[in-house]
Amino acid sequence: MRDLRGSEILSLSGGQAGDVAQQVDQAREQLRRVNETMTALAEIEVVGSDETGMITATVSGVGKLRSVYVSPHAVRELDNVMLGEAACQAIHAARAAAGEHLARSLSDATGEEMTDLSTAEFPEDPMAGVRELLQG
Amino acid sequence: MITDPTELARQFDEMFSRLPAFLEQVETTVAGWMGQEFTGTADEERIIATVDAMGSLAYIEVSSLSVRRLDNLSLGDAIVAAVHAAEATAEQAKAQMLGSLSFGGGNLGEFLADGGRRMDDWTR
Repeated sequence: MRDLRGSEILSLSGGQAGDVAQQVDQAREQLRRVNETMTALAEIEVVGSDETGMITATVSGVGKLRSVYVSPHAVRELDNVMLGEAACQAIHAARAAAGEHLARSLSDATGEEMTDLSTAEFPEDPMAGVRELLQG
Repeated sequence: MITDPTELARQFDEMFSRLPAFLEQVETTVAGWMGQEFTGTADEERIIATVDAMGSLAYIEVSSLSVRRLDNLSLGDAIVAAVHAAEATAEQAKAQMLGSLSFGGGNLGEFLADGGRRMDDWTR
């Protein structure tokens, strides 16, 4: 079965569902813009470095790791443990920057303030609300 | 497709009566899965990346042998390969976990994948 468009809901309901039809069309348009933004973000590159600046990570605008550049200086200066930590730090920095960029781009696309997911905190018990609802 | 409203109502009632048990199953399964870590390796297991259940990078271990035998560019590539491998393992585990949660004749993994496809179609 094909999904109805907002204008079709309006005509089927004999003009009674004007608000719903408009909201459906708005939601569809907003989601289309979000999809477009996400597709465009997947193509861009965002970089981040460790605190020494000797290791640089590049991720896509949606946080997918593309490359890690380890400078010759890092190989000489850092031991293996520090190198692993620095690489991790660079990847985190790149992803945090991508998260900020993503939040800004989605805000621009939807006209609404977005939470920066890189700093968002998850609730300790996400199911609590559902349990309360079921228990009345 | 069911067209009889009574039969439809009966099926809805049956489905909703199973909801609390399903949510309990979701809670237990997700809690168990959330505590897990997944690893990926490169350079013959001398570089190990570890991610949490959500796929977030936790840490990277680089052996001293890798630092000695790889040049700086190969070292960077090997780190990327290890991270990608760990993320792929976490993604696979997530798909398995969601696939194990069934409700109303389908499973959550299929439902979410189908939802994503429908959303794409709807906004096209």
